[in-house]
Amino acid sequence: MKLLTHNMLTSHVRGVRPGAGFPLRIQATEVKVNNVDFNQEFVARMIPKVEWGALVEAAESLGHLSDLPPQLPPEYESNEDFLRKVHHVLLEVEVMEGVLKCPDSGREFPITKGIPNMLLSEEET
Amino acid sequence: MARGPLPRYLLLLAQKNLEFRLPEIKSLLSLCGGQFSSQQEIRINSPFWILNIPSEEMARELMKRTVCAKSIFELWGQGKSAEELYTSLKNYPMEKMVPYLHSNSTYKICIHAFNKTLTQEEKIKRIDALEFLPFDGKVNLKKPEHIFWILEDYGMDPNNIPEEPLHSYFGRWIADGQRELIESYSVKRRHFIGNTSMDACLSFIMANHGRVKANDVVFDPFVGTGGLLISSAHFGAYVCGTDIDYNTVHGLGKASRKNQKWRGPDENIRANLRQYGLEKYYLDALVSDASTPIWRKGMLFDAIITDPPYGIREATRRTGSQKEIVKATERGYTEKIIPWHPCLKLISNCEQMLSSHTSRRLITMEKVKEFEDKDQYSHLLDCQYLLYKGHNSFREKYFSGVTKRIAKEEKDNQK
Repeated sequence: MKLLTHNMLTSHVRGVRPGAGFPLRIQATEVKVNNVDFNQEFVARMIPKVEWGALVEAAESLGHLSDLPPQLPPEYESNEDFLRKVHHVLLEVEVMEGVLKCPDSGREFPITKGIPNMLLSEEET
Repeated sequence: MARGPLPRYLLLLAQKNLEFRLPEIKSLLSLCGGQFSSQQEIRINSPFWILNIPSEEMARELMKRTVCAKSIFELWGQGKSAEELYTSLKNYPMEKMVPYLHSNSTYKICIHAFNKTLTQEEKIKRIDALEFLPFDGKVNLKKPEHIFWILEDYGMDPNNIPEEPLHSYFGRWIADGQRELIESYSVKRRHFIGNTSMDACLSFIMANHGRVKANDVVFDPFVGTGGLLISSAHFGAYVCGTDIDYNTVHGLGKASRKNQKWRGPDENIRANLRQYGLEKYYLDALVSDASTPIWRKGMLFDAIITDPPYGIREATRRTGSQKEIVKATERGYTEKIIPWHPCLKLISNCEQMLSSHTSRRLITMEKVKEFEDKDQYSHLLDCQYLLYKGHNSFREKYFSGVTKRIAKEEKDNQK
């Protein structure tokens, strides 16, 4: 699971108040770092879609903060150094094994071979 | 600057997926910054369409995406007879011809007849008849700078081929379409397939209907083996998919290929993208039930491209509530049965026959406004509000005696 995807995921367990299921806490037992071609335009395009605080928190919890600032710098679109750091965190760091934990209900969603399992039982939906 | 009429281009289309062609070309033209425009009626089922496109550059951009069209030509002349064609060519402005005919250039002239096979003699005769055109360059059959084509339309009926062409065209070849992708991305050679993998041509058509472009994020909530993601990734979109079936997402279990029992280690969605050099566009695959969305609020995806289950190959599963409810009228299909949502505008609706009594429809919708709280009740005010039995109506008919009876009747009629 990449951190770009993690930033879009929310818990959908029944009873969790809207907004309280995000962001899912990552407890990783295996993290992999890959090389992915840097695409400046794509990264710049994703930044407005991303919840910046949640991204920084997730990267930090995996030990891959990579000097990401806690706030977005102004005029980041042309700041290649900054965008490369964001690229690394969004697309190159992958959680291979672990769990995603709902911050409200505590429900855990396992991640196996990089693939999160978000299925809920009938009672939970 | 006076605005004259737009330049005219002749589009030569493949005679496959007929209903899908116009929406594909329309979507692509708008993606390229233009719009679909033709001074004359397009004969929808004909392989020849004349389009007004503002520039050669836009025509090339169109051809970089289309899998429905074979080639595009700058149209120099046309007619319902040879004489009309020659007159039309004589009326084509000389200053537009000269750049491609001057003495330093090389060229060749080819000829293509639709619905007829011409003999070598007939071909030469037609090419020679164009001697009145001021070709000053040298003929080069191997690698000419400019290629010109005579295209003849002998109608649509292979059992009734006229002596003379119904229409003749002459044009300068600009570019070919992307039909070669159909072969290079063929499911036959793909590492990871499922029982319901979408054929390559249709998956490219869907990406085109969806106006997918580079740096988009595309999502498939019924991703299966990822076939639909591949075409979007080919066009430079980053892709993500979910599926309710754990084994499919992980690439486990029984293989779909004949002669193969179990799936190998290299069979999963990511590996499919890797096979085509598209791994960098892989975002993620997740196991998830599409009816209970896992995404937070926000404009996350540029396009959702999917082939949902029809309820006939997989075990039926209760997947929860549906937002809108639509009623099946007598036989089954009318326009009213198309899912409707206040934020979505219907762009196109194309039918593909699957057998003599079943078909499926590709629906394209565009989000035109943000969802507001009041929208959740808007279907109650619409006069198209109807009741629908859901997947089950198709499933019931498919497995019922009705369809078996129709199939038997057809068989009897063939005797």
